[in-house]
Amino acid sequence: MNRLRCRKVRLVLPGHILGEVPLGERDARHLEQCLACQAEAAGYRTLRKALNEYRDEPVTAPPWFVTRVMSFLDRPIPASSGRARVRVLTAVVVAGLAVAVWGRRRLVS
Amino acid sequence: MTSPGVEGSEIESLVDAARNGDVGAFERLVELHQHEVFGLAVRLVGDREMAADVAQEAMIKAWRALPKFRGDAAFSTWVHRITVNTAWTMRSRSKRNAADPLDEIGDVADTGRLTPEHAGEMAMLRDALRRALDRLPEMHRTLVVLKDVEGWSHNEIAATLGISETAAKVRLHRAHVRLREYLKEEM
Repeated sequence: MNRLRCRKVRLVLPGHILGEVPLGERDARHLEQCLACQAEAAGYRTLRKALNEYRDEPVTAPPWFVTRVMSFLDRPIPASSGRARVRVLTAVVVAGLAVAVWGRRRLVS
Repeated sequence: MTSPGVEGSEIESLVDAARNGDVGAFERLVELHQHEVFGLAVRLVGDREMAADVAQEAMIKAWRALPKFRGDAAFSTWVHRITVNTAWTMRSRSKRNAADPLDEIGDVADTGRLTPEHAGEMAMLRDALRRALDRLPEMHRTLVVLKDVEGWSHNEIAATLGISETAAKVRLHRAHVRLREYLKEEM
């Protein structure tokens, strides 16, 4: 068993088995001969199988999902939100100015 | 990532209408994308109840952000990105994790023509994977789900998570190593 080669092969095994990256010639030859690396590879193959099963399992949204989402949309249409924000800001600035002028007059008098 | 049985042009028309404030068009878009968005959310957070909150918030964010949607990517791709970011934020906010793996299984698992023994074996494998995924750190889980389950490219993942492509590859490698160990322990 070549420990350095084992380390190198184990580094590329996930990408090879899960990402389908081809193994180099020397790594492939090592894998054919090294039982420890073969055991490692078997673990990644099981993981790939589990991930495929998990991916293919159908998941369905709850029956009330669309209704619930739509019940939260009772707001102004998105296109007008920018203009609405400008109107609110203008109103706040005008109100602030009015309060400032009123306060100043009270102080003077 | 398109909805089965629905033409891309129909989706585009619905998006255009929804962008102009057509609530009915948006409702149809939610109907068409609800299962894939909910499915992605379940896989990202590992809990159906929390996934419903994530998927709902993602759809509402999509509605509010529609005026900014330029159509550079498909609507479903865009909504999926919003879902990933929403799941990320909500999981950070709450440390709640899936307690009962049985609760996370989809409504109906299609076992097709499998023999009962094989179907049982596959169900055990999926359950072991769920438990293993639950043990992964959040970033690792997100990377595995997006790459190995949803089939995103490293580039798409990096752009959505705000990390470099190299960082995405390195972290995914670490995630695979850990997940293989956890899966072995859970089986």
